[in-house]
Amino acid sequence: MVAIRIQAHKMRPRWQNSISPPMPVRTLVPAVLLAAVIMASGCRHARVAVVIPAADTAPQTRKIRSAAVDHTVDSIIANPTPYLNRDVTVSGIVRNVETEKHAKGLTVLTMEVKDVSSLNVEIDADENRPQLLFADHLRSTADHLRTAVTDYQMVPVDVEAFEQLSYSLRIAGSKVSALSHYFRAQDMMNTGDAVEQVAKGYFEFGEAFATIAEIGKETPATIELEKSVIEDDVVTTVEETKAFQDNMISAASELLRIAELLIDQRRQLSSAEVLFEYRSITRNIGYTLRSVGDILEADAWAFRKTRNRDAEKDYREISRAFRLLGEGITNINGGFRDLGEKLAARYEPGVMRDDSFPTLKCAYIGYNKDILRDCAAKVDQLGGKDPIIIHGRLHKGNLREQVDLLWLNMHSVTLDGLTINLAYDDETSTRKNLQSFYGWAKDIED
Amino acid sequence: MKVSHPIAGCEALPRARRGRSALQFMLVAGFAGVVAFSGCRSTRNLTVRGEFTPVTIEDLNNRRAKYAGRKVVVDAYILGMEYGENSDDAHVWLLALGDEPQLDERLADQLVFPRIGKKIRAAEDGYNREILTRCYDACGEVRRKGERIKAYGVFAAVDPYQQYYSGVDLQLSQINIDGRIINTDFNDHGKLKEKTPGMLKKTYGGAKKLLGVVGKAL
Repeated sequence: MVAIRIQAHKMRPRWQNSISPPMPVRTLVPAVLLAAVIMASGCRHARVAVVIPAADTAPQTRKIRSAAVDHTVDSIIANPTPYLNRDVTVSGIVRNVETEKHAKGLTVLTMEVKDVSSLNVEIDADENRPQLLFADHLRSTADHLRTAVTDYQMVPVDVEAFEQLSYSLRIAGSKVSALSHYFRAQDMMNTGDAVEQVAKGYFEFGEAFATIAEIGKETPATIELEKSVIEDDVVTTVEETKAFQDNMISAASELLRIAELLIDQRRQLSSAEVLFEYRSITRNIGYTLRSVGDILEADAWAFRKTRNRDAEKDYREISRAFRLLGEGITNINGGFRDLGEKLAARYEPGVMRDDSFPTLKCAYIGYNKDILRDCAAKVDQLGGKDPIIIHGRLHKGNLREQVDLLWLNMHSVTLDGLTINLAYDDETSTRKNLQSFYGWAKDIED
Repeated sequence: MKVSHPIAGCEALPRARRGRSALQFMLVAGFAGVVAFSGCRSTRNLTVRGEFTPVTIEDLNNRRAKYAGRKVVVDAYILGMEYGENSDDAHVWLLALGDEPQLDERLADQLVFPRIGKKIRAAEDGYNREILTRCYDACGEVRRKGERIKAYGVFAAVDPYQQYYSGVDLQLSQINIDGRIINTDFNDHGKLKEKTPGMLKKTYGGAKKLLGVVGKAL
């Protein structure tokens, strides 16, 4: 055996002897090369969809980047035959996008796309819906309150008017509270909570007005005091004026109108037949009023320090009234903002849609669920109000449980100039792990 | 007494030749590795020579070809940002930059702003998560305040970038926040350092040194 080996060695050319490695090494080199070829072929492959013929899954990268929109949803649906099993680039409005688990490790991204021409019709439908002007009324209320605070002077007020308004505000609060249960009864719990917050604000406002009326009864008409009010980091000297009373009454009247409108429009609100703009509603005025309340509290302590018990009592009461006003308007504004958000979340973007436009189903099935979910989230961010461009291959056949369906097998999606490759990272976990390992090994070689 | 080599034939080779064989094998294996993994992705730090050219977002939108592949610095507001990890566990930070401030908190986590015409998207990735998260947090604050940043990077250099065939325009290298210029590539390192367990790193380092010594001796 040994003799044969030596003989074989002697028969080799001289140069070959010099580089001839030991036996295990000789077998290892081709093995490494073979593994390299296998791995190289395995890296960055396109996906293989479970429902698509293998021939349809070729990488499309270069073509996509220069692809222009060449078809409309309507034209494809009207006459799909010329486009079947061919790559198409289509622009449309997404009406529904979702991802769900398809099978072991696979996720399916589906979109329902309508023709771009549907956009005008549907947005018009949105724009034609009556708009409730809660935000305008609340802004007006805030303006009145801000003016009242700026001109605040502890002067006598129309006690009767303030008392009546305090009752009206509490009545409104009770009615709005009833409205919160109306929404809850319709399984709109979050909406009900938002309305309950508004009701709480009305009660606090009512109590504040009652407190001001009580102080008015006891305050002599001759008291004149100058106070400083911190608002927006500016210290303003307050001058005597009756604007306080007028603005407070105007603010309360606005709030009563808002409550009336809210109660009147309850059915339309619950069915999204009306809209209201809520994004501009802020809680800022609440903080301004609370700031005033705290300054008046400081004044109360200052009077206590000088043993002026009567003035201290008045200031402590009015301080409480301003704090109540602040908390009340914060709750009202915050409640309306939440109400707007909850109603919008409940009905956008699927309300008042025009069903006369046909829908093209688009789908992608892959192992890369993170990429697919990210794509779905980005499409969702458009809110169905801006067109997207879909690149894919048109099929007529089965898509999951749906049989004989015309659908577009997407391979990329362009939205707002961002083209997402749906096949990116679409590999099984085994392949990913192998690649990860080999990638690590590559770095060692580097 | 002659001690025979366990593998027949090898005892006939001089020591120097045996050393060369091992070296050649390593070269072959290394070449195979390079061939095998040339298709695998990894994070990249672009190196383009030259100074940063000050540009506006409008310039970049309108004269894309002119600035492609060049180092630019752009003064911009942050519209929105995304932050996450890719499949290589590298951290990825994407920003949408525009000419107007974007103060709506609900849009802060997105990159698509179809109603804003003039904008670009910038990206940075790497394993230097401390730097990237710090930049991300600071930029979030800047956006909330409606202040500007200066983004330094190479324009239209990376195409495609991760899963995006197009739409990610600027590969960041530095960012100026509140007058502080931060190198976003600082302390970034390769995948090897990130993935290799400590013990293996030491073993590899030791083996490398040993091979070096052996190579010199041969």
